[in-house]
Amino acid sequence: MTKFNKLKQFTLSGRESSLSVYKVRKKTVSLISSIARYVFLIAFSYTLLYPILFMISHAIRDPMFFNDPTVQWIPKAYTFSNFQSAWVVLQMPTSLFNTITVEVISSLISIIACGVAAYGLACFKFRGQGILNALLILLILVPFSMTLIPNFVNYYNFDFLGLFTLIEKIFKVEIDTNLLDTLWAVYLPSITAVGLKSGLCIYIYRQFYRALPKELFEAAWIDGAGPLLTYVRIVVPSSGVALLTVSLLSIIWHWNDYYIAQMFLTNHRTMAVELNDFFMHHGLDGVVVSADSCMAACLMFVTPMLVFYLILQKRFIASISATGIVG
Amino acid sequence: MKLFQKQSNLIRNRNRWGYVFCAHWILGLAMFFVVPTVTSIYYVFSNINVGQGMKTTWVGLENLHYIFNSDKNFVNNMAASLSYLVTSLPIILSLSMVLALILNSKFRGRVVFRAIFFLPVIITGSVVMMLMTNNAVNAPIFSAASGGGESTYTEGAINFQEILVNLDLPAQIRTLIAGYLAKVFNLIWSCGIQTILFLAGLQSITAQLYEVAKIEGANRWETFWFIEVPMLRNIIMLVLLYTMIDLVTERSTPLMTQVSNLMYKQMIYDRSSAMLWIYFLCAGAIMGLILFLYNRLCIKKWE
Repeated sequence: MTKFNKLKQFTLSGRESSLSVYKVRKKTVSLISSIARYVFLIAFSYTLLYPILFMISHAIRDPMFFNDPTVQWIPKAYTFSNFQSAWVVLQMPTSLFNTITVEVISSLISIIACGVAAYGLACFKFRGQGILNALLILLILVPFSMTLIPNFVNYYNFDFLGLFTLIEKIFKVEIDTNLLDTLWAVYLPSITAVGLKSGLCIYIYRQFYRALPKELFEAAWIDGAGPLLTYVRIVVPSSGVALLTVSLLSIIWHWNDYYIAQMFLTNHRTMAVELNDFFMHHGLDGVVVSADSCMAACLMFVTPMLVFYLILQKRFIASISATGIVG
Repeated sequence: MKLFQKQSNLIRNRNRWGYVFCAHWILGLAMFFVVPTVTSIYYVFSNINVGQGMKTTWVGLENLHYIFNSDKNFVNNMAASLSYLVTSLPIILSLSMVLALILNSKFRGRVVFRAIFFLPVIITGSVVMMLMTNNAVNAPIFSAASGGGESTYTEGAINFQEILVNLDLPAQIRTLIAGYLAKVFNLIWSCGIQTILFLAGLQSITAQLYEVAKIEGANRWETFWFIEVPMLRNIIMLVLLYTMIDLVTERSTPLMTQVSNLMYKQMIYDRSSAMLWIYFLCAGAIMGLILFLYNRLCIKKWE
């Protein structure tokens, strides 16, 4: 009995001591790993935040102190003159208005059009679907610059299959087939869901619609809802996350787009075009615009999207992991 | 039997709605995608005279002949662009994987860090170029690595170049590392979407798998290779594809700079589209090879 008690005591104490050693070891490991994690993360976010802080610090800096080596982050004198000159150079009210009419509206159109096309692709089985799926992958793959010039020619005399010529001949009317410098040059691809990065938008939508349960559609069908009603009343409300993801990405992509507006709409100069030109001429013509107003212009361009993102970001990251964008 | 026939007709009728929903997209594909793509293939083999309203004449292989034999920069630029693709890909992939793994674990301030790491998706294009020319991207610790320039912000910088020299490595490895250090900002900046994709994939792995691994006595490293990587195989594929497309079409690579110079400044459309097609075919071959190898060596093994 005593022997047993001794044994019990021995094992218990042994276990206890080994347990405490284990605990201490585990604690140190977790402490070290969390320190390493924070060091890594902070180094990374420093690199990512540096340009933005640089931008802000320079935008509010008095031009007098631009080359002052003693000033690193916090300027000695604040000024808004940089913003004023950036406002002038960016031709601000007009270019903002153009950005909204050209980019934002076309991205909104494209969000709807891509959703409808993806619904057709994901929820119905019809002949030729394989070809359409292959074309979708090609649409994602083939870079935009490849079709830019042919599209330019296409817009210059927009006459798909001679359709407009036919109408002109039959009805004896003149139709202006030059789409360049009209808003149609941007809206038309958006309406037909082949606009800027539409391939990816359709892909995201399609993955999500495919993952919706079949029973939902069957129930809607049995209750007498046609395909259109099913889309409006069932699919759209239950795919809020996909909608959120696509809208955020699409609006950001459109906002930052430069090529389309530059090529097709020379009379609707958007903020991105103005900024790019500003950037080019700053280097080329030797126009004296200080780097500070460059930074102010950048800040002005970026801020709306930054605010937009910060409002949506928490929901967005939650949604992107729920969309099944990845499967 | 008759009933069945009728029902299948019904289903077929319903499925015809697919055409209705895709109609605008099919039209758009035909007008703005298929026709222009075929046209741009035609441009490769023709001579375009811009002065007379884009008059095209068929010249056969002349453009290809020109860009390979007479254009001194094309082959070099293409090689540089392709090597940029091949060298950056593993770095971006592993960096974004590590980031996603870290962001997936629970710690204080996770939300803030997640918000920061998605910034590169918002700020792109001309803004980044502008920042680069204004030396705003060279955070002090890196400015020594990227040559410094006339930056006045190098105080307290770690001189990576000196460390590299002192390390006594073989010359090739040294130049490789120096090359990575020079574009460290580019690499980090292009990890945005990839990190998000990996993060999304990691969150879809069920907790049971981790539990099983823990019970079986796997350490963190084994868990990573035997659970996370195989579970993420499809996402890795998607990220590979996305990253490669992103790297190939990036505006700042030497070949894209040359092509956009030809296209927008000199208005030479025939040669530039020939260049683009050759470049994308080569890049496509490399992409196909990588995806094929990945499929063969990795996915087969995990399944």
